Amino acid sequence: MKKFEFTDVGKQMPYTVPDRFFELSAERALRHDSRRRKFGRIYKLYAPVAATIAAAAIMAGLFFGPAVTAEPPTDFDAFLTSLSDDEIRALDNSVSDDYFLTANFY
Amino acid sequence: MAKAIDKMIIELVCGGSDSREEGYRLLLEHYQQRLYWHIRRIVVSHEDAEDALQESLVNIFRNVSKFRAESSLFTWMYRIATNEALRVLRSRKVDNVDFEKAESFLISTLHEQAAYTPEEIVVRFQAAILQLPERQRVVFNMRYYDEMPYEDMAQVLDSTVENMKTNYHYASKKIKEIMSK
Repeated sequence: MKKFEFTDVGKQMPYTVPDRFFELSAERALRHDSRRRKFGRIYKLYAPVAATIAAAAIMAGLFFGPAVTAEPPTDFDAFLTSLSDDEIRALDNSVSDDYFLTANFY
Repeated sequence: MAKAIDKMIIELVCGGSDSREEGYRLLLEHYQQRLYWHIRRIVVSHEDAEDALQESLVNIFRNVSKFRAESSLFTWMYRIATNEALRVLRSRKVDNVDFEKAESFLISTLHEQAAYTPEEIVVRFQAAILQLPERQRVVFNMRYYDEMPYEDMAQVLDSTVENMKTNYHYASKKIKEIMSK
C-alpha cells in the first residue's frame, strides 16, 4: 500500500454545518449576553431594596411580634387543684388505661 | 494584523454599552468560525459543537473586558473553547460508558455525520485522529489545522513547548501508521 502523506488529505474535513448556522449562532450569543446584562442591571438595582425590606421585616418581627410568655406549669399540686372533678377523673382513666405506664415489665 | 483586530475588539468592548455590541460583532466575525471548527474537531458532533461554542461565547463575552494582553486574544479564547469542548466531550464519554472505548463513540458519530462525504480518505483521516489519546488529538488539531505556534499551544493547554512538540510528533507518527495500513 502507498505510504500515506499528509498532503494526500490536506486540511479537508468530512463535516458540514447547517445553512446560516454561524449567523444564527452569533445572534443567539449576542441576545444571551444582552439578557444577562439586563438581568444584571435589574439585580443591581433591586437587590439592595429587597435586602433592606427583608431586614426591616425581621426587625419589626423582633420588636413588635407576639412575645412568647406561656410557660409550662412548675407546681404540679397547684395544677391538679385547678382541675375540675371530671377533668381529674378523665386524667385518672387515661393513666390507668395506659399500658406503658401500668405494665409490670420486670 | 491579528493584533490590530484584537486591540480594536478590546477597545470597542471596553468603550461602553454603545460600542460593546460592535466589538462583539467584530469578535464573532473574525473568530467564531475558527473556534467552532476547533471545537467540532474535538467533539465531532455538530450538536455538541454548537452547545460548546455557545457556552464558550457566553464566557468570552462575560470576561473579555477583563482580558489582559498576557497572551493574544485568540489564544485566550482558544483556551476557553478547548476547555469547554473537553468538558462536553467528557460528559458524553460518561453517558456512553458501555462503549469499550470512548473513541468508538466519536468514530461512530463521525461516520453518522460524514455519510455524505465523497472522499473516503478524509473520513479515514479523521477516524485516525480520533484514535489518538485526547491530549495528542487536541495538539495535533491545533498544529495541523490551525497552524498555531507551539508557544501559543503551550499557553492554551497550560504546558511547555517541548511537551507540545513531543505530542505533535507522536500524534503525526501514529496517524501515518494508521493511514498506511
